[in-house]
Amino acid sequence: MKIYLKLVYKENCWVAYNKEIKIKAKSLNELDEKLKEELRKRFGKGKKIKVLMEYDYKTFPFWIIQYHPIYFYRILEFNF
Amino acid sequence: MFELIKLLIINQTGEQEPWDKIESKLVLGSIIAGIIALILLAVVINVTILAKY
Amino acid sequence: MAEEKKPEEKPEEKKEVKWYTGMFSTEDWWAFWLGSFFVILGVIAAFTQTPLTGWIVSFKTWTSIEKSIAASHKELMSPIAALITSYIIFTILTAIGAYFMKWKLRDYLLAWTIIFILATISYILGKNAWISAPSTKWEKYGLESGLQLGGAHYIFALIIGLIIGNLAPKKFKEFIMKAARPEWFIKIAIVALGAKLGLKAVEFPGYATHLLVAGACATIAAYLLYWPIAYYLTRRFFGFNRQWAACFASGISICGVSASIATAAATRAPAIIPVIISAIIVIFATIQLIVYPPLLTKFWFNEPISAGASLGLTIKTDGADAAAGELLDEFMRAKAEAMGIMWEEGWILNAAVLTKIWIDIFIGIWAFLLAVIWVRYFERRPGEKVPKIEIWLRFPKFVLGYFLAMFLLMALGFSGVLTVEQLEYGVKPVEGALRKFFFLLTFVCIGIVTDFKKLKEAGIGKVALAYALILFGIITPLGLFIAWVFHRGMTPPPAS
Repeated sequence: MKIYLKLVYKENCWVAYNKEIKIKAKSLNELDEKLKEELRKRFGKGKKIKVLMEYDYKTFPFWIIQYHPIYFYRILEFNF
Repeated sequence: MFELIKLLIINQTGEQEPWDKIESKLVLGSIIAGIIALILLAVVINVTILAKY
Repeated sequence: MAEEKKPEEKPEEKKEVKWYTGMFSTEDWWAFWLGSFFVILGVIAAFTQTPLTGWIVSFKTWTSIEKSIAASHKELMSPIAALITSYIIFTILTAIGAYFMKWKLRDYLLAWTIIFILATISYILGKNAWISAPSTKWEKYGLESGLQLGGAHYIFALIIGLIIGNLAPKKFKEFIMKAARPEWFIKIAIVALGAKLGLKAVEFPGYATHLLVAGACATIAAYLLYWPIAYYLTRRFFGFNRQWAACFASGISICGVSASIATAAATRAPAIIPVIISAIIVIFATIQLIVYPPLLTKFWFNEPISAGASLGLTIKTDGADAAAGELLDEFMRAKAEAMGIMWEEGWILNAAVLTKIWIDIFIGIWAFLLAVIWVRYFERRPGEKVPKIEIWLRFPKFVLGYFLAMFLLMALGFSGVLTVEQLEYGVKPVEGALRKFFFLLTFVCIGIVTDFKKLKEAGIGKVALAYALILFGIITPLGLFIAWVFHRGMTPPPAS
């Protein structure tokens, strides 16, 4: 199954969120770990989950986005 | 001079991280590849295209 | 300045990033669409020999102001009608782009109109014969003296922009920034420039190929040398951490803001890093735009194409590079003309733009390689894949428009489907008058977005110092050398 999340960096933390999930962590490694735990809790064993995490480029200042079309896009795969 | 500049910017550009061996390899590899590419391409361009000007 | 806006934590609908993502929502794609539209309109005009592009307003050197503007096809309409028609058509087309990019349309239209008027005023003023005509043409304009400032209209446009960017009240500046999009306007102009190169290539096929190949070679050498040197210096001597050093090295050595953002993404750096570095890049690119063309004209006049290519290797935003290329083209040709040498227009500019375009093309691959290196060596994150689609997403789409325009014109010219005269009838207004007007808009906008006060802001001055030392101490001399190695002895073909 696929999970879609938005990613932002605010107040020195990475935040990944959608309507149901919101994870906050100091580093991306920590964020991934917390996300893995959260997904394990929600969906249990025997699941293969693909997480598509798009950085919310709208959080960049307007003047800068003309120079480059996207920030980044992460794909994470978890096998429980 | 460099020490002074280093002191000025040190706090702004993240906590210092130790220089890693892999960084040496990547930097050196790229510079060597760059110099080789520069010499080879320069020779090719100079004896072909630029010879006409 | 460098603060991130507070994110709206209202997730949009689920969407997966696909190859066509951004096709109607980014300025890069809209430069491709609009630029290609104008070029295709020119080609249709050439095929049908109807004045479809004849309405584009063209600015002339003048002694009496009523002769300062004209329609590209003079018989089609009066000068004022051409100016109004150009305003209406450019406004509608760019507003369509603004609408799809979800900008506030009302704000855009008002700000755009002011920028359009400022550009028009600068163009007319700068084209005054006493200001801009070379001494060889004084007799033609009935002059006995003059300033001989070729390219004065661009300088006026930049000065007007800088006054707004640095001295205007904050509210007005915030408002005008809604339409001050130098990268968008220059990319539209660059697509039109592709048509110019294609047209010229039909007359000088060998020369265009040489420029293309030499530009590509110079780029490869620059990528492999600039980046590691800048990275090494910032890490070892300036104490940057890896993310800062990588973003800084990409920004200063590859394609400026774009590279800095792409590298920050590859290294998963917080947005604040590319934002600070980008602010510095934009300011220094403007300084280079002001300083390099006159210096190169004075001290490197015997190597005009090398000088043009060196701009592409040293000025880090597309807008400032192309703008500097245009200025250098004007300055060099004016100096040559004063010596009785007539050079074909646009080749020095094309050398500057081609080198930069080659640099832009590879940023996706470079960022992908960095992302792989980062995930593999520095920040291992099990389960994370580096999506290959990012190479395509980061690929500059306006470049497709540039090459499409170039090859289309070359194909039509070489195949004999249309003669050069037929092609010029339709395409010249696009690659000439329209392109130059969008260049002028870029000059105004570069001025507006360049706020020198940013250098004073807490912290930025410190990174700026490192930027200045490496840019002027390493990147520029090396860029001049690489440009010379690959373009040595080339001069523009004689004007026909």
